[in-house]
Amino acid sequence: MGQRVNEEIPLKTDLLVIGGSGAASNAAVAAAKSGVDVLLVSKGKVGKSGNAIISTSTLSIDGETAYQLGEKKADRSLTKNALFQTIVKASFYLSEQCLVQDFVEDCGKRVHEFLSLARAMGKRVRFLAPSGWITANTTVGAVIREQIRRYPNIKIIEDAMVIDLIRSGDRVNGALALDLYNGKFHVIHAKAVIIASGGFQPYSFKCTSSDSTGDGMAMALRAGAELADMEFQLFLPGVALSPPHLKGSIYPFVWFAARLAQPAINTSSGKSVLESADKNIVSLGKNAKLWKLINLYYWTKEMECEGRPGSEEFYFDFSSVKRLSYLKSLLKMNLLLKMLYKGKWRFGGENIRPFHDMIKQGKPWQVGISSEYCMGGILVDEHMKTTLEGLYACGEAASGLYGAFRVESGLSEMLVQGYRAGAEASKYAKESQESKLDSAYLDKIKEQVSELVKDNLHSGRSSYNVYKLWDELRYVADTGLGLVRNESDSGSALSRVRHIGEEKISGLRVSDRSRHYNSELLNLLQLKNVCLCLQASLMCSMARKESRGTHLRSDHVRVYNADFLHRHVISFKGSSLSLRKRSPDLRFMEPSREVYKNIEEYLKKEFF
Amino acid sequence: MFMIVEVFRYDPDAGKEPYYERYTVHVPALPITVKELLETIAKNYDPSISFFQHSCCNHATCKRCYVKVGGKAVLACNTLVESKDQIRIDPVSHDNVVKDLVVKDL
Repeated sequence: MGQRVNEEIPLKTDLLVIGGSGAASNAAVAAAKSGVDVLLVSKGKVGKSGNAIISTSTLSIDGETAYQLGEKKADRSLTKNALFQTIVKASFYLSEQCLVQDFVEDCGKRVHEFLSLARAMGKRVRFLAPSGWITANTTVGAVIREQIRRYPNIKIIEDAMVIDLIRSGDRVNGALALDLYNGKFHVIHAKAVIIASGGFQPYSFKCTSSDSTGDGMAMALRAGAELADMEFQLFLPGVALSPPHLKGSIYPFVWFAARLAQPAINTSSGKSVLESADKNIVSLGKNAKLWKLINLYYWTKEMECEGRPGSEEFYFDFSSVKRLSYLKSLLKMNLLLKMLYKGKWRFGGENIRPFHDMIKQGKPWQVGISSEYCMGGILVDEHMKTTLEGLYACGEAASGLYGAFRVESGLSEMLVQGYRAGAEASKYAKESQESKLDSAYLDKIKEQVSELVKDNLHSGRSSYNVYKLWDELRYVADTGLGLVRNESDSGSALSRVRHIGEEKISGLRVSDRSRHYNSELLNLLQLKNVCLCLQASLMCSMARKESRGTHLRSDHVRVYNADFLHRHVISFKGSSLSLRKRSPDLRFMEPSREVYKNIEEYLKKEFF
Repeated sequence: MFMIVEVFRYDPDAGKEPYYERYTVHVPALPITVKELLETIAKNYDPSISFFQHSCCNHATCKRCYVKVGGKAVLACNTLVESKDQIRIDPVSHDNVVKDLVVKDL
């Protein structure tokens, strides 16, 4: 087949929002309320893409506000100040405290708005002590769609992947998107752009959607913005490894975290993972939402080999749980799920009965540790503004709220930051003059995409297959940026990912020339983004020669506040990535400059 | 073990009538999900096949990865292929095929 031509559709708007989940919908709504025209471009369908629809669907705020909102069972001792302190301490003091302050101030209002709309739509929501709510993940998606539907000045384009931002001089004023179904280019001209396109999970075992390929982060980086905290990946202990069709289900974690009849957690050799754990620290997990971090820390200590997500099997063993206690818990869980999903044994789209059949048969649940969320992302200030004029970021695509460990709800974060980014970016769009699109910059981006589907001139390089390269990158992430890291493995991984990027991906051309749903092209575009974000993550990981939050180093176990109380920031210098340090905003709470012998000691001193 | 998988192919850009492509696929172990089977074909045999990949929740929630296996509509992400008997995979509807197994408006 000859040269394929991508038809072009020019589009103009005040504000372009990239993403299709809650951060994007809230950004669009806040902007639309202020009267600007919004164009939202989503890789998937709005409300059916991103991680919000497959999360635990819990939204939490401070207890004081929850009480004022009429939840009489809310724990009022969890004041705004207490929430602020918890987030900052759990971030290991890498949070930008101005962002935490804004989050604490806004979260009650944003969560209340979201849940009020859910209730008005006839959806079910239940209070979850001490200061949150749970709903169905399908409800989260439905509310996101409804939010957008209510504003005629929000236009949407779905199933279109934004490939790159358009930078005209020092300002971002547009983007190029590819319609995945028909291969047409959308050339979007905007006064301001918000990236709300979610996270980056490069691993082979994850419980997140296929969207999490760091697209927004990578395009921001290519345009000249900065990424921060990329070494901090959140992992979730207790994700199903079996039965095969439920692999990756978070139901076992939800059971455990819901404080239902508690199984023993054992390694494959039968040892309890919490046997040698400090009991005070373990009890902290029950009260302070630190469950994930505490379990992650102790589980990884018991691993046979240094940790690739999902490679190590653990077991939730119910054999010592009394039958009555288990049945009571099962009833409680079933009532909750029935209320949320209106069907028996339903958890989201999954039928979770096989888990309980296993218990009946005396079998333990086989679980592992999976990738869940990325604390790192685009560097923003308190106005959600990036270092590039006209460009804003929010939600999981941004960084700075949760530092080294996300202790609060990701859904609350997306609502708060999305709304704030929408308000700030629309203000900028109103005040700024329209600027001309840089056509040379645009042509360069288009040419780069067209190159990928041209006949391959570098025949030696064409033998690589995009799907095999995916496996290679996942392996690099698993081994170099895994649950527990060390200098040597991360260093090898960094060399490897650079090699893959330069020698394999850069020369790769897709064999499929079709303009219509070209899976190969889609995967190659995503692969490039993953490869870039992975390099940034490994550089940050190598530079952090200590343990902090979810960054666990076997060769540097200390939490070294004396030398490492800074964020790592990545940007392009010429054609190479470069790392700098940045001191976080510590205006309200100063950390001690102490050196803690490990994560356990840090938690003990900070939380008792 | 090997299994024979027939996949519906259609590319409006190719100017050809739809047809079934037959792959003899090496599968290390069963069961695997339909999605994993399609990924295996793309990785080891034919990267040009298209199936819904761009916004998958992987947990039967978004419900966008429907295909027909043996004539029955199933979600590719959480439906298991349990036997090595020959199977045929079709788009969930033949009326609005975008390419291969991908249909519009799911």
